[in-house]
Amino acid sequence: MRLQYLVLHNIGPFRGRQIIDLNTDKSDTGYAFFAANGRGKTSIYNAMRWCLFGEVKTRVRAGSGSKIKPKIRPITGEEEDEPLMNSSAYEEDRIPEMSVILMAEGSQGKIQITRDVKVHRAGKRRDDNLIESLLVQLGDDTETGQDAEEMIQKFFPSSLQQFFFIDGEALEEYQSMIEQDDIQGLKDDVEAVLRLPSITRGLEDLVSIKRKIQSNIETVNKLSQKAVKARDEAEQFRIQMEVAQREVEYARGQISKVQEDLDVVNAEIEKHGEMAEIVNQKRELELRLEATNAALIRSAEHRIKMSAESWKLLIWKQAEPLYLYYENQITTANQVDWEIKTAQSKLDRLNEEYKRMDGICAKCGQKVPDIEKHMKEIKVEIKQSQDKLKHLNSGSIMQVDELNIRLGSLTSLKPQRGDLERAKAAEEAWLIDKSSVESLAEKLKKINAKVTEKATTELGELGTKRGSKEQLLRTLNVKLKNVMKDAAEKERSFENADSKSGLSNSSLPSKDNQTNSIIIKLIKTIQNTIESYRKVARRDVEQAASKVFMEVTNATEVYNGISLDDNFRAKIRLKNGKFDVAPSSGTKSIMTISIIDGLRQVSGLEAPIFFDTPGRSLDEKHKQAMLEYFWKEKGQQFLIFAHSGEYKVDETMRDFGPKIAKAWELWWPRDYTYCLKCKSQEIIRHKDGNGENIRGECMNCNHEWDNTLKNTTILEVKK
Amino acid sequence: MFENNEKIKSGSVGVSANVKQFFSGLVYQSDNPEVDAPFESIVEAFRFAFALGHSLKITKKPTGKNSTANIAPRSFVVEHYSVILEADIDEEFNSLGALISAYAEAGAELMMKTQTDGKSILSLLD
Repeated sequence: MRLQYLVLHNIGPFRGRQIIDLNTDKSDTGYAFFAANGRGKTSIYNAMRWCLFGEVKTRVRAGSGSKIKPKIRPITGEEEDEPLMNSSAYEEDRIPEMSVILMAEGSQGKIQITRDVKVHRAGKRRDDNLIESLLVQLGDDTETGQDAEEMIQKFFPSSLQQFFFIDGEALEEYQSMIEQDDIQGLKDDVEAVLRLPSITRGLEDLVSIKRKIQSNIETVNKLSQKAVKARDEAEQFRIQMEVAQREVEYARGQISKVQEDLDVVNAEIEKHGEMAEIVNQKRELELRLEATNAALIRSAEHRIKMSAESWKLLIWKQAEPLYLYYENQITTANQVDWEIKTAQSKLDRLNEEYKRMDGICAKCGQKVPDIEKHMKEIKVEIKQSQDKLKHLNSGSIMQVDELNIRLGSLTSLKPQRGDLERAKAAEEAWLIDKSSVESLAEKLKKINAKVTEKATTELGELGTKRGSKEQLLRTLNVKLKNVMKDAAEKERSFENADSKSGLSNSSLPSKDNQTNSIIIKLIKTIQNTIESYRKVARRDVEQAASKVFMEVTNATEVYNGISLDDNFRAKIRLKNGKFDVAPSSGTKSIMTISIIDGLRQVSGLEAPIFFDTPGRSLDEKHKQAMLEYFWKEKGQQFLIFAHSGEYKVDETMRDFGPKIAKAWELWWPRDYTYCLKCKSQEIIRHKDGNGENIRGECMNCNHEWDNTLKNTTILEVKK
Repeated sequence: MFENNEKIKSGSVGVSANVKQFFSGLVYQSDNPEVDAPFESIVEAFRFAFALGHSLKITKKPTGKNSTANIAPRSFVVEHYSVILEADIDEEFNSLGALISAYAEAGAELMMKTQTDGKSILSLLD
């Protein structure tokens, strides 16, 4: 796969759109980005990772021999979180947007990946409010969303990215990992190269299935034990069921026999022809008469109860007016009683006034003008009061107490509400029953006149016999019903226990056992395969890494290559068959780069290699040697993102010019060495009072620019 | 109306022998439920007859042989009816017992006639 264009929009320090054209008419593999700190080298490197895999992780750190899980860098956020989006775009644009377009040519045709993210301003500025889209075109196929992600995974699995995106700053950590014992990290890498993660996941799935099946087997074994118990119970129920069924058969036999006897009796009765019919009617009438007579007894007894107080209905005809009279008298007597009390009180007051007369009127408190006359008037009033009292006490009205006694006596004679209706209803019911009995008795009398004594006797005996048989038949039917019910219950119990017993050692556990056995074998096979692949991969990586190492190292006379032991622990092999126990840091870095490249080669994936800060831990000779190795006349593109201190632009261009397909410098405005408008190198840097470089100006075309801005411009380095 | 201080004699109750026999026939027997015998005892039949006679204000002196066949005094307390009867006490029926007996005798005669007419005893409630 060969990268052709990279279009950056508002990512890192790149404000607006920046197009990087990687096309050349040469097949050289060397590409270089030179820049001072902060200009965006790593942002370009990260832009491609984000475009391909939708996320960029912080640099790998190692501690105590194991990788510390890197964090995913946010699209937007605070400065310390290292957001990917350009901060000016995020702060200033109405709808901040970041996008990266990657165009390449691969074995499957043209590839274009467009990943875009817009900030949704309605809510808080968080990744949650971002709208991300992905479009992938591969040959004639176009996919979006998750399908597009899957398409990328097919031609560039994310698990292999660490072999193509190499971070020079992380080399030391990577290096320390592969030198130590029992490192999971490199094993993971080897498995990734072998594309084993999916097989490993499959293996884990199988182990999980095996666990479930074993659990099933245990469950079934438990059920089997229960089933054995149920089988014993089923046997007991079966015996009980058979006993009950025999009882049913016996009862049916009895019924059948009694029915036969009854048929014989009925046939005998039939022989008496019409007489039998009459006798039947007689019997029926007798039964009806018996029942009706019982009803008559009940209604007669009810009638007695209901009419027990009926005499009150009669006596009340005369007592009621008297009752009302006494009620009225009580009202009157109460009035008279009050009048007596009032009159007596008045008399007492007059007597007192007469006895104590001292010339002052007791009514008005004034002095009486004529005492003698006043005394005479009081005397008259006393006489009047005495007469009234005498009249009231004359006894023409009965005392209240006496009246109450009389009312109480009359109340005991008062009928209850509804007494008459109840008595009449009971009487009517009795009359109906009485009439029915009389009617039936009359009919029976007429029938009796028709029936001869002999026929009555014979049919009576047959009737008794039939009644007896019918009664027996009824009893037997009840018995049959009960034993059938019992037999059905026993059958249900048997079937229930029998169904439970059916789970014992059936085909289910047998199948499970077979499956379990197969899965165990399968797991073993896969484990062996992985182990075998790993061994082969170890050998292949060792060979590939050794080849790289021997090409890059500057001590080919001392070293023989790189050795990876069974635990993927790496050492530098000496010509004498021993290992270099204290290699220089540069040699170690070369070893690491060699292993990474060895892994990349074994992976079989053909894609450009991106190396950020490639010379960080290499000495000058190794830096040169590394470029010598990776920058070739043809093959996979090898892009370095170098700090100006690592690789000087002029020197690199001079030393590797023929191998460099294209190179760029990343500038802020203050870095300009010529006018971007007219290309003139006659430019002036204006400073403020503090000596800060604040403005640039072209002396040739008078173009001016703001040197305080930190927006990066990508400029191709002309050879 | 009588004076407060006047004491009414209680006397005893009784009916003529044929009336008492009639009353006996009005006592319910479970083996003859079809018979018009709506009372539980002779006293109840007597009480009904007295109430009937009193309601119609008809009296009759018990006549004939054994004319004063007693009605159990413990089951029929004449004083319970003194309030409604005091106004009717006169020289002919000068005790409560005598007056009640006269009402009952007359009532019983009417009950006999009712049955003779083919009607039931309780039809007299109408």
